[in-house]
Amino acid sequence: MHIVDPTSGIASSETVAVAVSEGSRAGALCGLSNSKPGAHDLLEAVGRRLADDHGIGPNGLEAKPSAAVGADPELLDHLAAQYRLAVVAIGD
Amino acid sequence: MRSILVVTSSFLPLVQAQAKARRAEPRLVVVDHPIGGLSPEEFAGREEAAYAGVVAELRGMGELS
Amino acid sequence: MSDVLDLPDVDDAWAWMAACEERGWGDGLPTIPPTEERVAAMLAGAPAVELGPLPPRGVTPTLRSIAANAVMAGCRPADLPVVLAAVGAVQDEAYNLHGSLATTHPCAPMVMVSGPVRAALGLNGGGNCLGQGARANAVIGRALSLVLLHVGGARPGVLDRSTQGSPAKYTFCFAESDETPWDPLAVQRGFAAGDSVVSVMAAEPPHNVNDHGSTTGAEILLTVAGTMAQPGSNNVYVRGPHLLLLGPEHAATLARDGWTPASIRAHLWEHARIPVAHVSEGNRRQFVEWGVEPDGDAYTVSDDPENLHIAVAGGAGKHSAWIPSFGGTALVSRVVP
Repeated sequence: MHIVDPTSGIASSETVAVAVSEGSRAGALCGLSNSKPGAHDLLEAVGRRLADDHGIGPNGLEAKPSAAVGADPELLDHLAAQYRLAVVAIGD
Repeated sequence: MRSILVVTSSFLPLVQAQAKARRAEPRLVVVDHPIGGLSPEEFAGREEAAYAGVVAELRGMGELS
Repeated sequence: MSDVLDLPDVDDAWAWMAACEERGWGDGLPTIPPTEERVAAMLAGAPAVELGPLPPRGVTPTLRSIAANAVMAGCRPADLPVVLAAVGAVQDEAYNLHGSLATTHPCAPMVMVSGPVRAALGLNGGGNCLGQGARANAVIGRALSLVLLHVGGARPGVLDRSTQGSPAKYTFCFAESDETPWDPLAVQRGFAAGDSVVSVMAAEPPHNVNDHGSTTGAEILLTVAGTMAQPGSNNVYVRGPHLLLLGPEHAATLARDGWTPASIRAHLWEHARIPVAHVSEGNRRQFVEWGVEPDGDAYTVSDDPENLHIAVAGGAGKHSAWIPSFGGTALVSRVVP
């Protein structure tokens, strides 16, 4: 039997660009959570321990406005400008 | 900006599929699911695993010795 | 690259069903094989439409792949324009397709159809319109779900992360009733009465509002407000749209007493309130972090009275339905091409 593939379509050419670190920024590491309570708590704890144990800082913590929506591109740009590293949590 | 993604095991397939669709290769730290609604003792275990994973990734990235 | 697959050992309905299961295709119910001939017939006279990539997989459907899914769902060629309008509508950024497909929430792509196409296709906006029985309702909603599953890649357990899902994920399509005492929803939203329109929303299945005892519109709205005032809804903290689908008998009583969609909306904004005491302390803390505070001693349902949409559908009987949403979505309406 010959069928038309129901999954067929035009594949996206979208790729994710990896921004190269450009010199020093004000912050060392930021956490970005999906806004679920567990994700926020986890990032807070990881950031605190990285600062205490390894002197990584200053650290920041941000979240999407809610788990139901994507992160605001302006927030991502802001974090990329302010921090060198990011730890992103997707938890529930 | 370099990043590490902490994900619970239940959401790993979603992250992997999204990464594939975007041709991205995120640095992943996988912890047991869930991390919400846990007792403080249960959460401490998740925190320990996430922290150890992030430290290992930072070492791999040359950010920690 | 060709979109035609050769399935050499698939020669009957059972083998086709097994082949689908093996490939992760379909919704678990039988489908019709989208042979080249059937897809060509589906596409005869199909309107030209412009479509973008479908998340989570990020692949842009072709007319042929949408037609293949329409065939699988059991659509007739005449149903295809409504399916195409619905696919286009869920691609509106405000609908938040990616979030609605990947979420743990049980939302499904609700499709409400207004205008003349309802009669042409036999879409049911009368008795049991949210249930089984009408082919057009069943196959149009199902075709949209199959497109999102196959092209979008929203496979349950992989990219569709719904905790429990809902029966609405199989199909969730119905028509507005002609028995509305007010303007149909599509007209309320600025479309002409002669337009055929689809309105989509990432929605929970309907929550029934049973009210046999009330004899006035105000009494009916008390029951509606009580049904809407539940602390477990996404609308409480994510906010966003929700739909009150009044049965024609409830609507007639309301209209008799002078109520309009605008006055119903304003009344329910004031009276559909969730007492703070009904929300757990942990949730209250979380709501604060998400920027949601009670208004006095109760929480509102959503953040704006205009987020409540009001339409009429159903048959005889004293039932209506409240359809909450994913919250991070919008009711998006599109003209059927």
